[in-house]
Amino acid sequence: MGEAIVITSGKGGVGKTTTTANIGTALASMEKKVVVIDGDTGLRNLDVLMGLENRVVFTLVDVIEKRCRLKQALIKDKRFSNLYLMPTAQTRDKNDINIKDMLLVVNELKEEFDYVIIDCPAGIEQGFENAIVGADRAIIVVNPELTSVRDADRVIGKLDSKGLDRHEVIINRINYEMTKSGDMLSVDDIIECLAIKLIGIVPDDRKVTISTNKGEPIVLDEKSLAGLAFKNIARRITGEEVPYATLDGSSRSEMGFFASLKKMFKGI
Amino acid sequence: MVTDKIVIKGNKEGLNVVINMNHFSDFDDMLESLVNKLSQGKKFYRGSTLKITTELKYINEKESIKLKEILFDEFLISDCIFQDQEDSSVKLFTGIYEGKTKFLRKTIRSGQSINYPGNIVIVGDVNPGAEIYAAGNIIVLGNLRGVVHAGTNGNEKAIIAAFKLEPQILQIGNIVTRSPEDNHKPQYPEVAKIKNGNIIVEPYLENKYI
Repeated sequence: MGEAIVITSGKGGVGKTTTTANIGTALASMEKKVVVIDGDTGLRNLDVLMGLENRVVFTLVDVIEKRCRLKQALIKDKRFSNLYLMPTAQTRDKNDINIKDMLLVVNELKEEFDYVIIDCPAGIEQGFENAIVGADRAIIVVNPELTSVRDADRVIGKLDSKGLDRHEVIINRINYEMTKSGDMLSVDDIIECLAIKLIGIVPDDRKVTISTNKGEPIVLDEKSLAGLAFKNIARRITGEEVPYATLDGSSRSEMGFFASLKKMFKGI
Repeated sequence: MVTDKIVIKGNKEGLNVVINMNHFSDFDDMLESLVNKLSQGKKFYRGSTLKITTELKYINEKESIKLKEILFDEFLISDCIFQDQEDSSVKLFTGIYEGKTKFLRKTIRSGQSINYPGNIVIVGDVNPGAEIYAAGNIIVLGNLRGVVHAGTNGNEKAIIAAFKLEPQILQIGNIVTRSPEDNHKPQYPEVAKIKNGNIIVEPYLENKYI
């Protein structure tokens, strides 16, 4: 039985879809069996990002409305044979899917795959409800901006009230120079405000835009810092402890001060 | 007390449903128990006229439409009348020195709303966009950045205290203040209370930090 992870944020444009595609690809490169589900019915993007746009024939909506079998809708990735995409319909909207059907689909996929990664749409309406219903854990993507942190807070509250309390945060698009000069929220500011576990920090990287337009996830670029960050996140998802490489080159301690204290006391 | 949440009475004018909203956490909670209660005698209510007596200020327009829809569609009643119940039973909550208290050991996030007819102690933060309403005092062991209202039913002796008191809106009894627009961050725990008809904020122990 696999694990379903929803990638969400509340606010739009923070990098949910990019994160989904990259974590999916990174996990697949670690020989895990992975399926990524596009939850953004009506505004689908995940297929474009993965470079699979031309291969979409059947979609999630077809599966739910029983026009095809689940397997028929899955698209095999170009690069990894253990990575699949479940696209969604572009000509329908989020109210055409209900949480019951979505739960069935996710549970069926969980039996077959190690990781089911669900790309959540922006907002907290039906699309959000559908995306989180089958998830076992949530990853919240925030940008170092107040607006994004506010929306993330709202979303974490929503997740809590739905009983989804395993959540971690990815801070995306951080600019080390700006954080240092105090022009941007720092990692500590965000963690303090959200009171949530950190699972990765992704630096701002121009190459991400290029990779999006090419339809090749950035984790395939060996030299990219953002790609490396996504790879580390994938390793942390599998339970591995990976130290945080900070953007100035020195390494940030994996644990916070209190966590290390706790560990010390546990050891005694 | 439990049985007093919803009372259904019959008199010569028809059926009267008296709902005490104070016993429910929100509208949906009330709706669920009302539906449960009415389901026990579904046939009995068919074609009847229901008069609903409750404190209407707790039910907004959308909710009353939803309530009517359910009553008409599921129980097939012929008519539904709303009647406001005068809030005569609400008295000042007097337990601010010693009284019932709710303890919350979590961070209250944006969009969440806590309403309690007593004191509230929060072991955690109150984030921007969250709302806390208490009939008594509100104590936050953390950052207080949301909307807070202490003494909701008029007790002006209630206080609001926090490790970092930076609320968006702070209200005690009927007096409201907005946070000042300077970017001054509190350096120590503070208490807000009413003095001479104004809300004042001071260090939690006078003279300790001066």
